[in-house]
Amino acid sequence: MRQMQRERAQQGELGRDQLMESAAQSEPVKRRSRGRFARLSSLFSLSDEEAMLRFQTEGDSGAFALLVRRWEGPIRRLCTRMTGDAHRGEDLAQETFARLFANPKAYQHKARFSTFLWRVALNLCYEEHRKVKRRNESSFDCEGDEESAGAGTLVSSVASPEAQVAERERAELVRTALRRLPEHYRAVVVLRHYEGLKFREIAEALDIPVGTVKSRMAEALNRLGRLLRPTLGEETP
Amino acid sequence: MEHPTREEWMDYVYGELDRRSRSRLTAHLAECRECEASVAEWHHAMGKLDAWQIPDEGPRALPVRRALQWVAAAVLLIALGYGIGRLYRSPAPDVEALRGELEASLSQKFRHELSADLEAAVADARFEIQDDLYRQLRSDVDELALQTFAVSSAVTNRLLSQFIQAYDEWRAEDQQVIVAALRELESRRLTDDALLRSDLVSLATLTEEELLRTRRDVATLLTYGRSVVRISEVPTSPNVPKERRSE
Repeated sequence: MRQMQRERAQQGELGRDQLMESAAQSEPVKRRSRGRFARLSSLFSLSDEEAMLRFQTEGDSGAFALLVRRWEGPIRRLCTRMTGDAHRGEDLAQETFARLFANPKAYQHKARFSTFLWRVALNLCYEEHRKVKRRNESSFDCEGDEESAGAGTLVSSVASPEAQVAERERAELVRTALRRLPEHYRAVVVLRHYEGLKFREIAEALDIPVGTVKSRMAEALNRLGRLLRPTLGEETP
Repeated sequence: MEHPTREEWMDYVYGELDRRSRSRLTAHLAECRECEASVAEWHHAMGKLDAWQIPDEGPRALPVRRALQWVAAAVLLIALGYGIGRLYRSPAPDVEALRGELEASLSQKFRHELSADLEAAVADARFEIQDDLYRQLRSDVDELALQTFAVSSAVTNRLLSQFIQAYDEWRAEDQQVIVAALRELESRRLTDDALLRSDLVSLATLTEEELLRTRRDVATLLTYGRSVVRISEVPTSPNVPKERRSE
C-alpha cells in the first residue's frame, strides 16, 4: 500500500486532497508535525528521558526546565535530609541541576534518568560530608542546630504554637538521629522512607545488590529505634 | 520454627510483598513473638521518622516559582481588564457582516497556512521516501554481496580442496622418487666402497712387494759397494787409517 502511494506521488497522480489524507495518515509525518502549539503541549507529556534527550540534542531549555520543576523538590528534600541543613540542602540541589545543565552528556541513557539524578545528588552529599569532616566544622556533627531544623521543617499551620514547638522538637530529634547514622544507611532510609523509592530502585541508584539495601534498611531502623526511644510521657510500642 | 529473613521483613513493612507472601508473613507474626517484637520496633521507628517533614518550597524559593506567580497575577489582571471592558462595551456590531469578514480572512489565512503545512509534509514525505529507497537499495546490495560472497566462498573452498588433494598426491609421488634415488645412491656408494677397498688392498700389496724389492736392491747395491771398496784397498800402506783397512 505504502509502495503504491509512493509511486503515485512520484508520478504526481495524487490530487491535493488525497495527498493531504495520505500525509495525515502517515505516522512519520505525524511525528514530525510541528503544529503551532504541538511543541508546547508535548512538553507536558514528555518523559524524563525524552526531555533530557531533547535538551541534549536540541538544547531545548524548556525541556530542562520541565525536569527541574519535576525533580527540584525530591532532590532538595534528599539533600536536606542527608546534610541535616535546609540551606545546604537547597544549595546542593541547585548544584545538582547546575552540573547537569553544564554537562548534559553525563547522562548516557543507560539507566533511568531518575536513577542517574539520585546518584548525582547523593555523590554531592557525600562530597559535602567529606569536606565538612576535613574542615572539622562543628555544625555538621554537633547536636541541636536549631536554626537549620527550623528552616527545614514543615509544621502544621493550624496547630497551636505549643503544638508547633513540639512538632519542631520531634523533627529535630529525628534530624539528629538521622545524622548519627552512617551515610550509607542514611541514604537508604531517605530514599525508601521519605522519597518512596522501591528497594530495587534504590539498589540501581546506589549500584549495590537489592539484598544489601534491605539489610541496611533493617539495620538503620534498628539503630533509629534505639536513638528515638520514647522519652518520658510518650507511648511505648 | 523457620523465621523469615530481615530482607523479607523489610518488604513486608514497606508493602513490597505480593499477597501470598504477605499472608505467609502475617501468619508467622501471629505465632512468633520475637518477630512480632522486631516488626513492632520497626514500625515504631518508621512512625517517628514521619515527624520530620520538609516543605515543598525551600527556604529560598527558586526564581521559576516567582515568575509563575507573576504570570498568574498578570493573567488575573488581564482577566479583570477584560471583564471591566465587557461591562462598559460599545453597542454590539453587525454580527453577520463581522462573520463574513472573519470567514474570508480566516479562510485565506487558513488556506495559506495549510498550504505551507502541506508543502512541509510533502517535503518530509519526499525525504522519507528517498531515505526508504536508499535504505532498501543498500539492503538489496548488501544481500547480493553476501550471497555472492557465500557462493564464491563455496567455489573457492572446492578449488582449494582439489588443490590440496593434488598437492598431497604430488608430494607422495615426489617422496617415492626421492626415496628411490636415495636407495640408488646408497647402492652406488656401497659398490664404490667395495671397489675402493679392493683397490686399496691391491695397492697395499703392490706397495709391499715394491718395498721388498727395493730393499733387496738397496742391499744388493750395498754389498756391491763394499766389494768394490775391498778390491781397491788390497795394496795396503801403513798410512791407511785402520778404519779404511777394516772396510
